[in-house]
Amino acid sequence: MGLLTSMRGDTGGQIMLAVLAVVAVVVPILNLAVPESSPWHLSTYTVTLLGKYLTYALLAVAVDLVWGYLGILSLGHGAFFALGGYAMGMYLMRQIGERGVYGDPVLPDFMVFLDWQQLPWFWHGFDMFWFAALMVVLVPGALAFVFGWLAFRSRVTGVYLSIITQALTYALMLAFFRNEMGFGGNNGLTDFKDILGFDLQSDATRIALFLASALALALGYIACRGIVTSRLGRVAVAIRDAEARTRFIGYRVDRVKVAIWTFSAMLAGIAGALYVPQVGIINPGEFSPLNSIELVIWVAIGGRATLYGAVVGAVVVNYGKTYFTGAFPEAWLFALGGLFVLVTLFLPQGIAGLLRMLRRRGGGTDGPKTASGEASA
Amino acid sequence: MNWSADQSIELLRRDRAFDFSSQRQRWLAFREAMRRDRQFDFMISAKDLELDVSHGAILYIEDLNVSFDGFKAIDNLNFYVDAGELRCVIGPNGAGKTTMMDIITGKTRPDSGTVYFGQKIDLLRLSEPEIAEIGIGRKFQKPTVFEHHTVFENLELAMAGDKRVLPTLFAKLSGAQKDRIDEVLATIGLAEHARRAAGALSHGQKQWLEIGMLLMQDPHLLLVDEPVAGMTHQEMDRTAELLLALEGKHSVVVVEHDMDFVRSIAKRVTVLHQGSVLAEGSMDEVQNDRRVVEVYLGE
Repeated sequence: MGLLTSMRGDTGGQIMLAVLAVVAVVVPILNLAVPESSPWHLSTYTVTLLGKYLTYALLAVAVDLVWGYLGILSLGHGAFFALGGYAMGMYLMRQIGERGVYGDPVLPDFMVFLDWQQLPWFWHGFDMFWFAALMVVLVPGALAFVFGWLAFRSRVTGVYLSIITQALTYALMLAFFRNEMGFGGNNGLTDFKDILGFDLQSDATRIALFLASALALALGYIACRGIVTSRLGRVAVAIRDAEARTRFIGYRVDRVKVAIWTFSAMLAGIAGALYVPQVGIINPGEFSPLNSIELVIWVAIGGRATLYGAVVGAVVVNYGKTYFTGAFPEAWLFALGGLFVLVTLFLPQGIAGLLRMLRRRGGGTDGPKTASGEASA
Repeated sequence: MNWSADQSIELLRRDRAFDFSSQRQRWLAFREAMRRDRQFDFMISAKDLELDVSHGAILYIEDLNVSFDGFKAIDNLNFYVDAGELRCVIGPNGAGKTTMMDIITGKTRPDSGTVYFGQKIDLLRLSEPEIAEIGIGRKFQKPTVFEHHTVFENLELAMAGDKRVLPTLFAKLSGAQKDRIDEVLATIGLAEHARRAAGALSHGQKQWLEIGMLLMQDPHLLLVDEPVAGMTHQEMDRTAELLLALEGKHSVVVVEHDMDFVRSIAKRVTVLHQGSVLAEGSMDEVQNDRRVVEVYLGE
């Protein structure tokens, strides 16, 4: 278990993974084994909701990797998430087969509706799960690679880069809204029936998807920890703090950025692919710049450059969103905005920073080993 | 066309000897052109270049010219540094000291002239990271260390070695590398601060850490820009000791304004003025040079 050594010294991450493991055991029991009449029963709706939060958490970890450790504020990570989601959606569409409204064995409903005669070339292969699974990482990865190669080689940084990432996701949203693109236009892809032959509506499939999301989050988290604690991770932080200096020491800054950026996009793609079968729909709205901005807020609220903070932020904010949009629908955006302002003003290191502060005040000794901890001591 | 039986038999004869020699010649020429182990000129990486200082000098700058918007920052400059030498460069503001450093490290490209590292390496053909890789390290005026990393990590990052992405991802610190870092920590006098964040160091300590980071790259030539600006007297003395300790093992070029400091370390001093060398020699010779006095004190 060489990878697990990267978890050493990461108390927050260890706690997070332990909680995740407990949840992964308890949730299936409460849902499948406890009878519905019992007050302890967990509804499938809640399981799906939790699974959705976990995919968001994985997405937030991907963003924290590039923002917290590499200093790239991406306002377009939702694009990679959505592309992964579309790749999975295309597989799920092809699984519908003759059960569609129009009953065409090959063409998805929206193509029949548009009077298309044959499958566009880029839809071929998506009837096979392994191919779709490959595309889930390859398509966001390839886009991130090309985008990063162009942007980082030209040394585009800071706010300019953020604006370009924003433009990227906006352009994709407009493109995917067009019916001619062949991705279902503004309706997107929906009405999925089954995945790998299992009924998407059954409790067992929902639990399996939930567990897959938990596993992906755990593995993704450990992989990111592995990068962050490696020498490459220290180079990344060096780039964040003093890019020109890092270049001068002899590191190819553009290549380091492209590599980590591409990896992060692939993680986002995986998160998107797990998200789609659980919510049952993917449409161009997922490319909306607002989504990408909101997700940066999750990371900021959770605590930048901690990784586990991103998980906490994503879950807390989305739980709040579920609660608020149910209880006071009009208040949610104000609550989110207010939360962001409060966190920026009073908790610049987010929830993770708050936890660290409380622990130190409580007599804990394990502060962070870097500047913020010892400089103030 | 009418094929006779004889022709067919002739064509299909099994014992016929085909003459492929001309094809073979062409094939060999093709193979030669496509040889996989061939080194094209433009493919030779900086790492493969060998530093040749057999003539005694490590840096040759000849007939160098640079102008920015009509202003001649470097004007027909000729400047040589011997291997293992500690050289001080002084001169009034705008004399071209920093521009010269920028050209050596590849940050600025000259209009004309040659810059050679040893006899063989043409620095004008290399990029900034390549120049760092072949062994020219530079310390900037303003200390920039990685504030969120510890002193030890700063040195680790600066260490010479394979700096490509994947090798860096899987890099492990070997015993020898750790010893090397400890050695440099001792040289720069920061051994007891190894685990402190670099951002928490004093100004002087940051300057020494920067010099330590240069040393970790095992440079043949060190360019040090104003090392004692803003330092206390004790810190200056420590810095002088540090630079003198490097002499012999590395070639060092120090650009400095502080004359007392220059006097305390320099054996040879070069005075730059308006982009070219005004005088060169020992500190005493230079100070008694009439032209130098004119430039510094006015008439």
